[in-house]
Amino acid sequence: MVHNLKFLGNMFVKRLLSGFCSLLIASFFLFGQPAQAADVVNGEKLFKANCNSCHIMGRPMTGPNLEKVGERWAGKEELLYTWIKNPPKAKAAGDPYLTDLLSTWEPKSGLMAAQAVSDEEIADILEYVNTWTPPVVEVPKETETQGSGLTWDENLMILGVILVVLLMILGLIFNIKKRIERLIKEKEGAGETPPSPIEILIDELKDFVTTQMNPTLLVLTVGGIVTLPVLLLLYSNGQDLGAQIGYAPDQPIKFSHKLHAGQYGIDCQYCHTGVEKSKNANIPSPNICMNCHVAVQSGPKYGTEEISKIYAAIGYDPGTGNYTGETKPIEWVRIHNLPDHVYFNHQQHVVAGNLDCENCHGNVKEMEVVQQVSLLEMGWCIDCHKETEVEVDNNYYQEHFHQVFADDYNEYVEKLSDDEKEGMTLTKFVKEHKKYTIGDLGGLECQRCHY
Amino acid sequence: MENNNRRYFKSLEELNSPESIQPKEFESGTPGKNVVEESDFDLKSSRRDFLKFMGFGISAATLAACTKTPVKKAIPYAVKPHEVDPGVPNYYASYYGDGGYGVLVKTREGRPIKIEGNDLDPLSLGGTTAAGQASVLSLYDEGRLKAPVKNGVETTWEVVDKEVYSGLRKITANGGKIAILSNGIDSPSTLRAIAKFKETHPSTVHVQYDAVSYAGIRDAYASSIGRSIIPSYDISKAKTIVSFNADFLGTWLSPLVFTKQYSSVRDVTASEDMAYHVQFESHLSLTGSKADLRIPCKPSEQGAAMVAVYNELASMAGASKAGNPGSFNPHCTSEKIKHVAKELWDSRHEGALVLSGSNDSNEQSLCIEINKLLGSYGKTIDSNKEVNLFSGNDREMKGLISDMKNGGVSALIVYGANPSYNYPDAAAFNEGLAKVELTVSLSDRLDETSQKVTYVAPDHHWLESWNDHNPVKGQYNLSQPTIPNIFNTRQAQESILSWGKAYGKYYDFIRETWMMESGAMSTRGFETFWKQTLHDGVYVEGRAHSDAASNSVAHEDVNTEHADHVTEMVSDTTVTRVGLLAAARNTISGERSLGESIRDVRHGREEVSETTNSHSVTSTSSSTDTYDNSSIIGGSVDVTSIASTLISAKNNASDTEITLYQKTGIMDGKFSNNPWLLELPDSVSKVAWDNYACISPVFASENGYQDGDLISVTAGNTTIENVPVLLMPGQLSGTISIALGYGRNMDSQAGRVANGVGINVYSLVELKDTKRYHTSGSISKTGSGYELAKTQTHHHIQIPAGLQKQDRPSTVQRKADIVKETSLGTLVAYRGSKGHGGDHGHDDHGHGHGSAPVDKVYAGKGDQPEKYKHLNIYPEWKDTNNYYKALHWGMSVNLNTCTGCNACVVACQSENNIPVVGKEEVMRRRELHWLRIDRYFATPDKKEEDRDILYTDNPSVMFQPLMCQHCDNAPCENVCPVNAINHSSEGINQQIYNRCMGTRYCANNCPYKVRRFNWFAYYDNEKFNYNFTMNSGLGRMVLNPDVTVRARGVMEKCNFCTQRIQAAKLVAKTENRALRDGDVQTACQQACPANAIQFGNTNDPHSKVSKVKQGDLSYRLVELLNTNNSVYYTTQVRNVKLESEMPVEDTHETVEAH
Repeated sequence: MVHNLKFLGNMFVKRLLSGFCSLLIASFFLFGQPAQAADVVNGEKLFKANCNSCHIMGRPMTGPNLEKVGERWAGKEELLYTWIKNPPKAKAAGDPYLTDLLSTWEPKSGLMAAQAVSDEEIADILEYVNTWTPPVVEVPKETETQGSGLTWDENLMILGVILVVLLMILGLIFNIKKRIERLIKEKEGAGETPPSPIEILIDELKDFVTTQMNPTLLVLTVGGIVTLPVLLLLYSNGQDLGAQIGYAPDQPIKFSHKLHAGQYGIDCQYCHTGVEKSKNANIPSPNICMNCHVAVQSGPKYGTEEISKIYAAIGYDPGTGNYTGETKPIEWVRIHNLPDHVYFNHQQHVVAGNLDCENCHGNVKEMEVVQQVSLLEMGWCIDCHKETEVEVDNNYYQEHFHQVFADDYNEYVEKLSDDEKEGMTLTKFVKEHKKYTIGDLGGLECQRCHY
Repeated sequence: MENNNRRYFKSLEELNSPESIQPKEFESGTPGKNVVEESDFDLKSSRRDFLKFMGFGISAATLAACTKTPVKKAIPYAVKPHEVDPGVPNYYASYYGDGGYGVLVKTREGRPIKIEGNDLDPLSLGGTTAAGQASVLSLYDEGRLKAPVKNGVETTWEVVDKEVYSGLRKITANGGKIAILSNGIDSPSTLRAIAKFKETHPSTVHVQYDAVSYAGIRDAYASSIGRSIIPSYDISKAKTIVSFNADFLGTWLSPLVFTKQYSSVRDVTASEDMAYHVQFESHLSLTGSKADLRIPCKPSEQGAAMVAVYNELASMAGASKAGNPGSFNPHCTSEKIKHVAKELWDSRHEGALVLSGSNDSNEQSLCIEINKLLGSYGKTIDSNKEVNLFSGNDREMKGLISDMKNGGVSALIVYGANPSYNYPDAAAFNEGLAKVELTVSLSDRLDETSQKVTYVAPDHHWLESWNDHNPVKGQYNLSQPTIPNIFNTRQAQESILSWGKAYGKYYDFIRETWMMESGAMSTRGFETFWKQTLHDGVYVEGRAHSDAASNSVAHEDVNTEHADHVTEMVSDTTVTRVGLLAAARNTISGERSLGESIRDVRHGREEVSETTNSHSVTSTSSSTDTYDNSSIIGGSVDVTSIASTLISAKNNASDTEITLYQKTGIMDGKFSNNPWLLELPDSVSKVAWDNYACISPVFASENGYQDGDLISVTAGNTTIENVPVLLMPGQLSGTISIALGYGRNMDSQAGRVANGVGINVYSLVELKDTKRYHTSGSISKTGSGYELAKTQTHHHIQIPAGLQKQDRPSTVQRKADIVKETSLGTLVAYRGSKGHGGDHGHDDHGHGHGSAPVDKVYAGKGDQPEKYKHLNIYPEWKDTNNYYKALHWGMSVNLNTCTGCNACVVACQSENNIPVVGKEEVMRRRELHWLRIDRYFATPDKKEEDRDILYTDNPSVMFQPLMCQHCDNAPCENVCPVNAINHSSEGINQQIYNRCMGTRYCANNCPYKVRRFNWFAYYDNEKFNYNFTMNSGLGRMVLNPDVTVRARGVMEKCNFCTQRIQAAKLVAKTENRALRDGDVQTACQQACPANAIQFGNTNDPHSKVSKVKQGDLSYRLVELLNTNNSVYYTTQVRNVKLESEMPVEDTHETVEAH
């Protein structure tokens, strides 16, 4: 426990440090840029680098909404510049508008920190801020219906079968037509007419079946031909009964992994915190969502609709920025279900086994709605345990399995020529020749997962 | 030699008619009888029936297959507490107040699920007791009150507070008397809270009262040295221990502490130093079972026997004798008395200790005098290190009741006590209670007392509470909540405080107490000190806090078993050891130490003079404690008058004497609504779900009593009807003993499990100046045919017929292959002849099959035949699949230190989600405990006609914990038709529940009978509603989420705590290291207070289990069978000094196996 916490603590410190460093470098880089006269593009860059942590365009956040700030400060540009560079000094000037503004914001967010920007840069930023217009909200288009879900090959096959059946019916009708025609001709006294080739063929077939073949055998043969594939189909599909590949239920919040993990590249473990230290990967609690969504209050697709569900769950009032304390956990629908009698541990697979999340969960980065991609059946587990090689470098295996390695090594070396024996150390053998799978080291035993 | 052989038997049935207990093929029968009608077996099905059934079956199966896979929800925390990670257990240090020792509480997702020992607590040193292990289940007992109650109806706290306070204020204003009646309290802050209450209500008296009283000891010390104390006893420093009816390993005072100490002086695996233990008693107790010399002695004779021992010692010491005690029962001969006295005298320099379990202050005074003669004070007894447990005072209680009856008490607040149930004269208490104007109880449930009061302000469970404790002088424990209160309850101290107009959180109050007492310490220093103490769970004066805590900043490898939240606290205060010691010193050298002021509070009412209370606290700031025990030497008591009182008590005793004792699980009955404890078979009698009158088989045959008879027991004016009889070897003729703690009569909700189980015999307790737990009386038979759930004949180990000797009953026959014992003399001689000590220096750590050839002290012919040792039932498979090459798990059980205390059994039940099956099912041999403790009696093997008084009145006793032996050649494995049992490459016999289809062939083929069959769905089944771990939503919170709850119709058994093995392996792999010895601790091993169980990798020659395995006392069960068990037992060694008591080695010749 203590270890885990420490580990987490270290991670946190490391992340903090690296974040800080990159920020430092980034800011250095940015400030190093020579400014151009009232450049909107540069202004946007500077705004995002310096201002965006407290100000967001279009609505108030930690600081007020800066939209059309130029209009409000018209005539007092000098004071505005002073305010940006030295807020206390500007405050001391006692401008009524600023005083009024501060009376709402200072108690909440404190006085703005002095910004190390040049006048040129301020001009750029103001240019960006003043010319900013709210982006047109993209109305999510209705996605096209996906068809019946059949592939081209399948369609072709069905068409083929229909064609064959139609042809057969056509043939039969043709046969009947020919016969009737012949009968009419006979009735009309035209005398015997020779049967058409198609009639002969069908009559021959009939004769063959009724006289030459054992009807029981026929029934069995035909029955067999029909039922065997059905049984086979049942057997192979029956194995997967209950497996929910492709299970992608509607979730209470339309959370998009494609957006978060794919587009924004957020690490899986940022939210699924348990993956390295617990059997559970953990579905993130809303307080993790709030790390970003305290600022990001509107999404690209659903606007505020889905994000507001997070606020409802954690009891956050985006209007005031306060937490109400009334929480209501989100009831996600569980996608990856294992039976109760299976013990599965994420830490074992991710840390000890060094597996990537994708190995079992598929390319989540591309999934708008997460779905199950692996069978999650015992056979599937076993297959992987049979094939996956153990990381023999781990001291755990080195120390406990030395006898296993040594026995195999001796057996192997015995068969080698003297030359080959040279340089074939135990370590080399274990790493290069004998690829130990999990199964080789006991990973197929029942009580590794069932207890 | 004929009488060299010993006869081992588990029960009288086995001794008298072995055939009757011969197991059938399937020993627990089928459930048919009680489920299916007789006529249901007339199955005459026609073809049409067949078609009907088929049709139904197929359509039902089709329908069942059509059901949609249920939608499961995954609900994360709304705001995840930062110290909780789902799937990862947290451990919090706390204190189990009713056992008086520190523990760690394992929680998962915020629910306490298991109690584990705290290594840092100097009292328990990581051990636990059965009752402590089970106490976690009481937390989830729905019988607890869910809200405050007024006149039996639920109400709100506002109503209770308002009415109680206004009532109290009125009484105070009118000068009425308020009484707080509590159990003995060792909590400084609770005492301060009561003192605070007294400030507001000055007319308050505080009376402490314990169901099982130790006031006799306190009285004896009060008259001897003027201080009303219980001293610390240290068995680990004793060379000779003589106990007069003190069941110190089972129930007396602080059994956990004594078991730890006892095991340290009784372990001879590595040394030949073994203390000598003599027990005088009438009832066969746990302690008596372990004694080297057990002298059966009637309760009335015990005082006189002590006089006799005193006389012998006095004559050796040159002092005067104290009167002639006369003669005793035939077991208690003057030779034995002389022998005991001589042994004590000879070991007086190394350490002798005499204990008395009596609550008679005369006996305790004489005990003090004997210890004085032996110079035990300062060696084995420390009168300056007072024990603060059981501070109840019987005289004050008596006074309170007469006050109440006279209408002298206007308000009564009952806290932690339940006199309507456990006061001997409960009727008088109830009568008095009816006359009290305002009655309030702080009980957590509607028990016998709180049913009769007006207001019940329910207390938290201890796992929901903050508290501090001061179990012995110089040691302070903290208990902390591990879960928010489940019901609408409130900490009792907060109730007391708020009624005393001192509102606030008890947590702050405790901190205030501690901060106040630690004097000049800075706030920052205090915070550090407090957090360290909270982390460790304990603060010991003069001892630094744990390394784990103080070094956690620097160390990567901190003790992962401790509460994680503290790490964070510690890391922001950068504690060093030096700082900590300084903090500790500050505490002590403050104006008044914590200890001092608490003692003042505690003993203020004793009016102890300052001079006698002088102690050297201020000088104990150094880590070496210097105790001054000289005061005890100087005290003087009139030994002669005490002796004459004791002798006359003996002479005036009636024919039948009654002993009232406690069982190790239920103890005084406070927590008897706990199915784990009720189903726990008593260590010695092996009876579950009842109490009963133990009667000597000899006495019974002479007077016409049988097992299952119902008797009425009369003592004084009290008669108890319908007590079932149990013939109990070891019970002295002419005495009977009955356990306390049963016969609860709570509100049906509060006592769902305990109500009506057994009989309440508290009314037999004799009320003299102190309560006496033995009395004279008479018994008479009133009925018969009562069935007790006796487990002693269940799961009988079968020895194949071919290996039996011909001339004796088969079951009694080859016990020597199962239980082995020897004497210390033999062992010493053996080791001398081999020229080595106990620790065998074998380096061979035997990969693969069998064990290394080690000379064994018992070296019988019943050992594993050499020529078969290499045999393996799966040669190809195990040779080619890396079997046992990496790890080979093994366990060792030290029969010598095991006291049979049952802690492991409950720990196993708690860890592995083992259901409670109930009395009916236990009687059908269907108890599900994976770990049982077999108890064997042994008597000299004489001919039938010699089976006289000496046999069954005083057999020697052995305990043998028996779990799955994980045989490498397991007979169960190859009879399973579906391969539901197989062997892992690490030597674990794996039971796969999902494959099992319940043929029970495996259980039938298991020689050790360790497999248990799940007859019913014990979960979600109202028929088993006493099994509330699985039959209520609340109870299920105690289940271990890492272990399956088994379904009906599968076989289950011990799996060496696989879940713990797997968890430890994962930690090792994550940390990129090999497993270390001790990384894996099984639940039983961890719970054991005697360190009798070791578990580890037997491939590692340095592991503890390997060392035990190599030892010359190690053996495996019935090695003749060549099953290659992975469990090693250590031969029991008795330090026998009297010729007549000599156990003898197994010398019978063996029929060679073929």
